[in-house]
Amino acid sequence: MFKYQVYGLAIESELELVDLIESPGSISEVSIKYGIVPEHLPKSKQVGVLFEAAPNEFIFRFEGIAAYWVRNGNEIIIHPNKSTSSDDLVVFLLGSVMGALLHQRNSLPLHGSAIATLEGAIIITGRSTVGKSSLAAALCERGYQALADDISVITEDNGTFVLNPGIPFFKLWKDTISHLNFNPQMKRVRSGIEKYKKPINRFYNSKALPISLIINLAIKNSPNISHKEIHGSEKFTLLRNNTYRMEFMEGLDSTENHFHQLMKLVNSHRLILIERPKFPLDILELAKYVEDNFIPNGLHE
Amino acid sequence: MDYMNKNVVWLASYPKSGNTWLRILLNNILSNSTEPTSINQINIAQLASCRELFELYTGINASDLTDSEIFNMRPRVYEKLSISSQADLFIKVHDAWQITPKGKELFPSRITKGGIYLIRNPLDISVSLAYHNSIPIKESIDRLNDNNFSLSSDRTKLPTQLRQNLFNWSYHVTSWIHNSPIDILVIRYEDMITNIHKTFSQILIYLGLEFTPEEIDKAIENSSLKNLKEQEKQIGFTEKPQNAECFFRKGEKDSWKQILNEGSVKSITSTHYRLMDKFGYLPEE
Repeated sequence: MFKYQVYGLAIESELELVDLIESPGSISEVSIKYGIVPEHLPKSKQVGVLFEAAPNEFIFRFEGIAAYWVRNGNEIIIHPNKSTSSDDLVVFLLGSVMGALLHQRNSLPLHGSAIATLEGAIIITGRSTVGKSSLAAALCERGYQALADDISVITEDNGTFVLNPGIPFFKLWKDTISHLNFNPQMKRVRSGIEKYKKPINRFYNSKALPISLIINLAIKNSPNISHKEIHGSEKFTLLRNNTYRMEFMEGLDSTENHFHQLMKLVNSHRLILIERPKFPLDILELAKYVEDNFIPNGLHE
Repeated sequence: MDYMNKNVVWLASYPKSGNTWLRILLNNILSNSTEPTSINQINIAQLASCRELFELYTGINASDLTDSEIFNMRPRVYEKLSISSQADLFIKVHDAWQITPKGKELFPSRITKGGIYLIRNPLDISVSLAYHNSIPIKESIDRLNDNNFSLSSDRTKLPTQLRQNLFNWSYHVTSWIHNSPIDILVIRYEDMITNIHKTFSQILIYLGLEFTPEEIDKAIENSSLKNLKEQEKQIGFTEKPQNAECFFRKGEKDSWKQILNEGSVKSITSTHYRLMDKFGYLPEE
């Protein structure tokens, strides 16, 4: 069995997960095993194209690749197809399947990346394609440590919202890799797509960090970068819409709990909308803008 | 097995053929408002190539999937969308009508109530495309003539929409009006220009919607190019490409006559002669 630490969870896994930080000797809270996955859930509340959700139970089935069964926030059972590559198995395990587990555990996963500053964690949320990972990677190049990419998991620690360190890799498109002059010889996330895994050189691998600020990155039809603070119901809506795999919550019966957590987060933390031009995406300029405007004390060591 | 309700009307067109105008007309007439609806809230129609829609019903990042995987899943996404709605749904489409690699209709018949195909003279499309995308006319014509043309196909970065296979203009038209099993209403953009009341009325009859002539006229007035240009000037238009000067530009027919040279005209007419002849788009001798 392999042992890992991610999102504040100690995981033991029959499947080797080379992307995760090893944590030998830890007492596991989540187990990942191979096994049989039922065709359907007996009490599905929600059925999507690739998933079924019920209170405390979830199945994700990708025909030709694998089926995953997530139970009670502490167990994942995987039934892979014989020819499935480990890359394919892992990308969905650490994506949608992990998202379901986190919702079952009443965590608050946001769809975004996060960096560490002296004031705390800054989470970068936004729609797909807006540049969340690219911005976090660019801030790393400016010397900041990154805590997470794609999924930023918030939990409460004695009344304080904290960001838990995630997976120490960025998933970046070829275009961003070229723009940031990264080594082009990186491993693809999966065969057939031009998205690559870049190790986070400055990975914040310590205890969960209190949250300083949440940024929502958006695109607008204008040549300049601008920002404004968001308040009220718009703030709640933006954060809700940026919840990772929000579509699972209804079936998992976690909507009400999520609502309460989100209300507390809305009332305790600032949300800044940063709007960037659609073209060109100068990610280095954007990183500098974030640093100049929102990281007053510079680098976190 | 989910019960399928035939409640989807596909609003299909090659780009720059009047799809936005039609959606705005429908938005206005179905809004029950005498005031023009906002151009940035065309809520009447979903977008077939919307990434968020795909992810909502699949529960997965589309960016972790190959084009082929996305293509094979799209029919089920539309089926789930159809099931989720009691009312009729309009879905805007730029894709050609196609069969997926797994042999399924990309736009499933079993959820289809109907389809409206908007067609426009490719000579005028070439001009409009050039302005919209800030590209030379030659590139615009190459796209119209390209048997393998797709939108949002750059795989080195993540496009905002899912990949849409258009193929060339003639194939696009043929795919919808001949290949698809849908009872399509074909509307010429030029007929919308010359007689919008009659053409829009025809569309409403096809859709089974009853409105008075006054209501139709009001919706037409609220969707006029003058109103749309004014709105775009005041509040911008979210569907406008950043480099384009404006989205709502001239909205006229035969503007190609002032812009295209003989070589460009020949390039388009020689490639698309049959359908241009059928729809009255060949230049006068």
